[in-house]
Amino acid sequence: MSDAELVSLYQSNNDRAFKVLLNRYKTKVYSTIYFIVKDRDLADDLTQDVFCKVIDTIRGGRYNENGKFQQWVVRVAHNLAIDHYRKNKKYQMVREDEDFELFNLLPISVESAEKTLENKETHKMLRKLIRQLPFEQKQVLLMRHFAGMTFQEIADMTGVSINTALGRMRYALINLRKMLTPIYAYEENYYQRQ
Amino acid sequence: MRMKKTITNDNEMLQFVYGEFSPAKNNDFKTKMLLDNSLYEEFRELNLVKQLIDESAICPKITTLKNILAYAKA
Repeated sequence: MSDAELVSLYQSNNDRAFKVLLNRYKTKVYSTIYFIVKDRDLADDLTQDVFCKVIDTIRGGRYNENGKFQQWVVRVAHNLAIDHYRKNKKYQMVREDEDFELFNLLPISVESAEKTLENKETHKMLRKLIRQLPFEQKQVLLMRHFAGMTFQEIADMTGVSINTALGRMRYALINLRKMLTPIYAYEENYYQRQ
Repeated sequence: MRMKKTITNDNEMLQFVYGEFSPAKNNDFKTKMLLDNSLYEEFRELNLVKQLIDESAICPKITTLKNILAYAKA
């Protein structure tokens, strides 16, 4: 069943329709918030706020996103997370030209990650790395992966060219890959010395 | 007339990884990769990181979900 159909059913007081929407998007909304606020309890609170806002908007008859529910709900989450930190003056946006010591520190490899995709520690480490990405790169990553927006849509939303949006995503992936690589090289050398 | 922007080769790889090419362009890019091992290696690495990002997504607490559902029914 499509998102639009579920929204329509919920407007007709079908609570189960909302439960399906919640299950469909809880992970994307929560992850988007968590990668920005970097605190799981706070991410839980804000996730609750986002879905309450969604509920109020649908019930109030103000929902009009032309079938793009996912984009809308993740954008609400993204904006709420950013607003929260701006208001609390805790959020320091990290720019692309800053250095990241973390890039050279983390004990994980692309190759070993490939072998153990199910490994919880790998995912935990990657979440830590994503949290450390420069703001512009992280924004494109979150919008592409969790809001399901195309690069053109992200470019339009953020007021940049598609090449800039693609470039930011490319740097994000390359940065993550770099952060994942050094220890692999170390492990290779270590085993060659044995 | 507004000039259409050309997308650079580096960015083409990204559009391929994220499935934003037309079927025809997709096939062209696959052929390019068959002929260029370094291009294929780059694809493999970027695609792996992309896959890991999707897998790293996390869920809210059960109590949070219960609270939301209670609000939805109210």
